[in-house]
Amino acid sequence: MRSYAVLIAFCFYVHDLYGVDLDIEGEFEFELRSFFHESFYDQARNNYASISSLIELGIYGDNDKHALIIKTFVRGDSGDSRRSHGDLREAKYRYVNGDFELTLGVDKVFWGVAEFVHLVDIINQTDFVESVDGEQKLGQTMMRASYVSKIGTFTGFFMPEFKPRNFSESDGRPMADFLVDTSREFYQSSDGRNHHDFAFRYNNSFDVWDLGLSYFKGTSREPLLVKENLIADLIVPYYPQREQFSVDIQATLDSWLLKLEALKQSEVSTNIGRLVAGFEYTYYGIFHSFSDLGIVVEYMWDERKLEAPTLFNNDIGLGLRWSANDTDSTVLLAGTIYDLETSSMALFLEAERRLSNQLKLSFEARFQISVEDQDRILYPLRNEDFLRLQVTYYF
Amino acid sequence: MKAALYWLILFNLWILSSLANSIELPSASEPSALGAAIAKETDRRNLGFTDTKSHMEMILTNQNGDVSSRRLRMNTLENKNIEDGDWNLIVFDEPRDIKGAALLTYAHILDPDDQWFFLPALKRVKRISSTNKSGPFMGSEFAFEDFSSQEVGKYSYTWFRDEPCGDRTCHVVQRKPLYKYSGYTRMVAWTETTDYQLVKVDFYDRKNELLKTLTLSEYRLYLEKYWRAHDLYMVNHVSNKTTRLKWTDYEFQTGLTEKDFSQNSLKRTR
Repeated sequence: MRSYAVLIAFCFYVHDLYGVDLDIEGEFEFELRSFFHESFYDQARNNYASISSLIELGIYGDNDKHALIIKTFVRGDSGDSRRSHGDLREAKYRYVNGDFELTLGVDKVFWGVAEFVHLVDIINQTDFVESVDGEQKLGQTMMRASYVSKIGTFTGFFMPEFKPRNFSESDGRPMADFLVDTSREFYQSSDGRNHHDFAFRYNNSFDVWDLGLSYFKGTSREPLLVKENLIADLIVPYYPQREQFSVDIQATLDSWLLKLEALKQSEVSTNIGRLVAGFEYTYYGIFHSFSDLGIVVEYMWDERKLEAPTLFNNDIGLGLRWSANDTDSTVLLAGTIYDLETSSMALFLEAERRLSNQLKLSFEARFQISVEDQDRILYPLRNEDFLRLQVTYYF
Repeated sequence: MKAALYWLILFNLWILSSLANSIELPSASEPSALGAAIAKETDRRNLGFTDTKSHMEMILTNQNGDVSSRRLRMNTLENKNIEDGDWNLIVFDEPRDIKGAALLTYAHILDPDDQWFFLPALKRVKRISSTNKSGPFMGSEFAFEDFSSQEVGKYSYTWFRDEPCGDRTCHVVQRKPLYKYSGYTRMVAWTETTDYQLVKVDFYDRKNELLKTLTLSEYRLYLEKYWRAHDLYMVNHVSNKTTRLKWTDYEFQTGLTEKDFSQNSLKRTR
């Protein structure tokens, strides 16, 4: 307690002395999730409630030349034990001098242009118990240096440690019809979680084009789920080493956005290609109203086809986004993913609306319309249709 | 001898500056040349502002009288190339759910602007289509094109008349957007003849019906040269909704450079 008082006094002292700025902001969220079918596991339920918090503290000095930023995430769930978790999303020192930027510590970065899948985005591990769509990420420890030049931005990454993907337990959902034993995860590299990973990225915008070229060498963020010998039905994650070259391009042509992400990855002595390509088109002011209707169509392909450890091996994604452009920023998003290989089809619906200056309501539903048993990803999740409702309070 | 030379130079400068302030306008028999000259004069008086930082509060009132507000900060960099538009970076503060989101715009005169939007939760910078400049900005009665940079080359002009406006005289000039994707067929703008600042604009929709009226007031002078309106009040005559923009904390020539308008700086906004 006393040390806190000293710390606060110190902060005020530094504040007065060097014109240091302090920012605290964050959000609390209340969430309900409801599953329509019985789980494969007795421990699981159909309804879950949870609360979470995301708090960011920033200390900025010398016109933001120096910044210290800490962002923590914590969730407590009524029944889903793995979903009750915390993560240091950010804990970094950032130094900026003109065209040069250096970041030391835990941070998050995003690469890519596509909507249905974030293919080339490889720096951060997916927070898999938070989101099945891969939008939520775990913080990644890194040293990152970036230089903005006339011919584009060059960024180098050094990542000294690795966070494995989290998977639900038998009391959690959505949950596959097999259990993943994360306590027995294993790595191709003898360094395990302490393998040193490197990445490099070049990006630039010219005229209507936005281009990114990236290279990554290190532990794959996507584990291969392998059956351990002898013990049947025990699946363990295996993290191979990966070398990856990727490109992401967007052309912005009036109301059309044309997008491509493609990569070549070498993993356990196999070379494979993957891509996502598509477009986004927006009708502004539909039916003489103020609302906009956007259409997103993307094709996702993986050279491994059915053997791919991803949902998106030969699939088409179609999404419709309606933005009311009203004072409450009402947005509706409906979409489907259709597997050209197995004819499996999934649907999703998302909606959000502001309730007040500090409150937002969000809704999400995911269903499977038809599932074929040769679909390695969707079939094990055939009982996991759900909807979720969130109320978020921002401060 | 030396002192006489100084006086001569000062006298010449005084003559030059007084010439610069008394402008020669084309005659009323050439309404399009006169309209364009008035817009050029407004533009000329803003040349050399270099950069600005400012805060904005938006007060939205709907037809039932319900009020909501938004807050944002805007940095602007004057484009040294007068054939091209200015750069600006908008950081959103309120409503709180969009706090930290930011919009970077490289404005162009007739081509669509280049725009990137930063989504702080995903740390994603997304290049967006700028053809929606005529849609409601943050759910307000302002469209992005209503308060973004008003370059002379964006419109063709027709001078209508001069008439009294308040305690001053105004040039009344019609502007027709030359850029594609404008939400308007035309605007009618009132520019007062003392400082050449806008005081009122009528906006006509795509069916050429009066849609909105903007009133600009609380002008203040910065660096003894640059006028800025601090109160912009927009009334939508169709929906009866209103939006008031209140600009505060204007700072000029703060030392912003192109580096402060990069995609990297977009990711660093707070």
